[in-house]
Amino acid sequence: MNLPNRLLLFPILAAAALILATPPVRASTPVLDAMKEELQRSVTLLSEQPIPIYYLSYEVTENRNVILTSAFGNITRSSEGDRRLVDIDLRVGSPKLDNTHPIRGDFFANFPTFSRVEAPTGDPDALQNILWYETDKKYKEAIERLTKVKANVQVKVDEEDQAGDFSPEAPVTWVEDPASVTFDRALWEEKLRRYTAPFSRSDQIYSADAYLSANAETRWYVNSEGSEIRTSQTFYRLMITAFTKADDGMELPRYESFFSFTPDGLPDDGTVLAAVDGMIRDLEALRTAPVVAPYTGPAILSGRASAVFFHEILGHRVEGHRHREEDDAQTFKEMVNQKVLPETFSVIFDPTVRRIESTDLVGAYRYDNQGVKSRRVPVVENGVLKRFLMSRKPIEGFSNSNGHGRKQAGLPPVARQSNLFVEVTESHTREELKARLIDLIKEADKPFGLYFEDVQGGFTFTGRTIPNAFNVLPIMVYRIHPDGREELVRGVDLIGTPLTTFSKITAADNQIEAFNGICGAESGGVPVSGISPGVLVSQIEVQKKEKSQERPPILPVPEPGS
Amino acid sequence: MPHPTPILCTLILFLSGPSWLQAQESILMKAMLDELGRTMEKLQLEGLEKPYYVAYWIQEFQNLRVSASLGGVLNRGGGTNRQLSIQVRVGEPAFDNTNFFDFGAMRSGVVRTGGPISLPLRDDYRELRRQIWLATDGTYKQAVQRLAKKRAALQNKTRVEEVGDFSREEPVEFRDPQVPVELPDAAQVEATVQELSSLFKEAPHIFASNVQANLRRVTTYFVNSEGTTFVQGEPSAYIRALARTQASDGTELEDFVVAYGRSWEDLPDPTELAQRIRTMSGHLSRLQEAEIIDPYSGPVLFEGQAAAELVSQGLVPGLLGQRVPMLDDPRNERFVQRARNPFQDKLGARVLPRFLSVIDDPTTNRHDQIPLLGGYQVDEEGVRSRETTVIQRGILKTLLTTRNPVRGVSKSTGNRRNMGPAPSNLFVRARNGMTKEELKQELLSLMQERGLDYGIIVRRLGNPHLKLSRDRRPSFMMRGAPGGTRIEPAILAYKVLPDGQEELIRKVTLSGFSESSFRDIVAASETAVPYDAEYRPRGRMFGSLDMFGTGGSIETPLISLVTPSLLFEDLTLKRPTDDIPRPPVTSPPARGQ
Repeated sequence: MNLPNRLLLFPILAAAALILATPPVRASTPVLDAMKEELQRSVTLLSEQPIPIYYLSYEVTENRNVILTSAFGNITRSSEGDRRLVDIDLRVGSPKLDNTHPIRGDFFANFPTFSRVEAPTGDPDALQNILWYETDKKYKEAIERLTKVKANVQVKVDEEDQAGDFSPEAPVTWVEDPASVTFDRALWEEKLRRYTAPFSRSDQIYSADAYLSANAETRWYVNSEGSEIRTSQTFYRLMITAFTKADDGMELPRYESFFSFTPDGLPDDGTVLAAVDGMIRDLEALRTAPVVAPYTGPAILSGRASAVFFHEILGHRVEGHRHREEDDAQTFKEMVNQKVLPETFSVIFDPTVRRIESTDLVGAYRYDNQGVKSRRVPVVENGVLKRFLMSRKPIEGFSNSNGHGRKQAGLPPVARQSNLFVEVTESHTREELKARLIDLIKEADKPFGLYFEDVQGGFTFTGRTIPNAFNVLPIMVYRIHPDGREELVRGVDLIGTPLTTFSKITAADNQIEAFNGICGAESGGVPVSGISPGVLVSQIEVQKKEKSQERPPILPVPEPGS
Repeated sequence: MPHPTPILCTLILFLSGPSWLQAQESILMKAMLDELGRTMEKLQLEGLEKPYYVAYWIQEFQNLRVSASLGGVLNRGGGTNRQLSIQVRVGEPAFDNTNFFDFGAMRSGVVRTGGPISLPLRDDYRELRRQIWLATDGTYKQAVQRLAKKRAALQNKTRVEEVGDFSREEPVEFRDPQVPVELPDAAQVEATVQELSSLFKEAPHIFASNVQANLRRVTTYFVNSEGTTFVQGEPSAYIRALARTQASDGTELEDFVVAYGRSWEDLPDPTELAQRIRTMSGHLSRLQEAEIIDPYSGPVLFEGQAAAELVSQGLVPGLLGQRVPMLDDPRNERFVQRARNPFQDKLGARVLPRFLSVIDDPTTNRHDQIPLLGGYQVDEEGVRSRETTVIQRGILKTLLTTRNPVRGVSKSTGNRRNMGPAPSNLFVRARNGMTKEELKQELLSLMQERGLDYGIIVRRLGNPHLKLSRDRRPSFMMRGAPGGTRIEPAILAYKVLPDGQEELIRKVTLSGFSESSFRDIVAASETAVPYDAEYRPRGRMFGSLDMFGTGGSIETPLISLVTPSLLFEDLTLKRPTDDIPRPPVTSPPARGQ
């Protein structure tokens, strides 16, 4: 059972560059030391138990954040806080079969539950005590679950995938200096006010919010294989959202988002205010744009739209662990070394790339949540599927992790995406792509084609009970008429099924764009990026968008004195 | 917390001029009143009714919280926000859009319905108007639709109970002269919380612990279409320490120390709190080895805190006039059944022994010299607070109500808090109360009459919201089960031998207890001790059973209970029947090296 994988992504322009992290210096790390000490103590004590443990890891995630919001030129929230959560991976049994093995036929046993265990990082004794108590609880849960797992394996038919439950990995040591949020709150409050003030020019924009979060995330990780890791990263995100309503009730949103690892990396006021002006213009245009009926035909997806498209249709289907879940559709399980895309296309996941041109990539990290170093993973090479994104849960044919075991603090990790790069060996200009689209329209005798310029996100289903479809949620869609005219339209979502859609991908342009967003799945929300050129698809399908049934406000916007 | 005395200090300072709020009030109130005027005059969908009543609440919050365990900070946070909440009524007071459980209509309006909705922190008149306008529009549209649905649901039914939907009350204008308390320096609060939490380092027998402080400044601005306006401050502060361990047989043991006040300065001095934490730690240590008793049936004396918690958990829900809404579909009964109050049918009947009376009094702020925290001048619907005798000499006279009438009580008693009825300062008064010694003697003679080897005194009872462990059962399954009201297990209970000697016993829980058990109280003490608590309704799944339609305060109110010790003739106590978890299989790490 997979949750709908929802991705909220936002536009930024780019081309590629590569930056490596500075080598670490082993500083004094009382938190790591306390974790290590308790880990060793627990391993010793729990190895003496009748059911011994064979693996233990601790991860402490500390978040310090400041959040500011503004609406129509006013600050509406100003808060700050910090918290620390502990994750414990404790395993009994053996790497071949352990307590994490799925229990078939028991929905609740396989459903990940959020565990909110807090621990301090300022006091090693306190941390150790909490680790002890929580480890003890985990151990009891683990031995109980292992008993159920063993019975389940006996009772049920043999599993199709006989890979074990846990891959061995080499220990690593990496200690970064803790990062902290550097941030002039008063200055940013003022900026945020300015960013949403222009929206009050329009009487028909019903909400206009700017959201700024500055977050420093530090992770401490130790495991019984000897790994010791401290990574620390700051994230600054500015998001502006606004929506209007058409007379038929349809809610029409517009989003702009900016992301950076440093506050200086966020755009200057001129850039943001220009984006705000663009949003206001777009919203006004969308209100009166014609509604498109369900349609199939050729379409061009901008780089931003393509990035989401590939994230949904391909990305979620190359997350390795899904190919051993008996209720997963396993689209690609038998397709390794087969052609899945045109041979000019390659898809690479690379969390080691932290920046392309002026854009930081939020899907970058140095170590995943299972202590495995991040690395470049070419998933599709020249159109041929080569491998999957792997956590430490093996699948047949892929026995080790490639550093993609990721999660949100409080949930168990699974294989997740990082920075998705769509690379092509043959590219066209946007005009050439448009000309090819017009040719396709004429060949198929269609009245028009579509151009998806901007999207708010998307979702997909990879299970077996619900049809294996995807849905990309566009915001700015244009009809391209045979005479080349482009006309803004509204009211449709881009839908399809993976294998059919792959076979329709035809060509790419040279306009590479990047998205940063948060992807949600069973291991929680993780930051991801997508980098792609614009893509021509010979046939797509659009369906009607979900629509609000509420009328616009009855009374006009209040004017002072009214 | 500069005061060395263990007693909470001055509660409310009455100053002469309300000047602190005039500047702010003028813009906030003007924005609300202006949009209210426009709404009442012009807001109407063609062919549908206009609103007959509209109310707006704006609440300003400033908040600071810290939690720590064993000297290390777990989380910290704080911030400022302003929330708008709205009530729109269409139809007429006898029958309107409220009191209708409409599970299907979760979302309506432009985006917004009754709230809460974030407002600008600055007094920007135009933007305040705009937000109020949009929220009113959405709430009104939802209201007319719900009225239509409610009428439709009645087309083929005959109502058994004809109770109106909204009571008529006098308009009130009130400006709280109370000066809002400034929040203290975060570093100071953090240092105290850390210091108190580090006391548990001396207590390795406690497996998990945490200390938390939470300080809030809340000011509510209210207007309605009947001319009521008020501004009222409700600052609150608490600090609490929660501890959890297991006995040698695995029985889970929990206890807490908590102190409430109106401000950080009101809270007891850290040395006093430290002393209470050490006492708790000592209790938990003794409980780990305390005797386990066989099921007991016989007289039980609840003293002090235990009596107050028992009243709070067992009796208070019965005193509230909680209207149960009409259902859109009878299958949704499960969502409301916990709110059904068995005392609803007991008006005029005896529910306590004749020597006991229960009075709710939000107009007072002390008992003897001790401050009480449940008081206020007007409730959140702008109804003036008043003393209400709920139970007079054992007879249930009325219920504590809001403007939402219940059968038998058609007017508000001024008790709307946190979107529904809630007590304020609740006094259980006993005539001819006994001294502590006499009460214990009475227990001994009752037990001898029954031929029992021992009697039981309960001195501390758990609180459902002051626990480190979470109840794994879904909340709607926790109450209303056959066999009565759910009361938390006793933390400190003692076996009393015929010679008066007392022996601590391990965790026991009341079995078969219900509201009607209070009728069988046989004696009470002459003195009563105040006990403060946060009031969280148990019977309501959502803030309001009406679901999004009624607006109001989103702040959890403080209440004070003033209760004598209570002697019950016959109660059943036994060990908790849940399976006992295994004690830790590993030993804790050594500390403090």
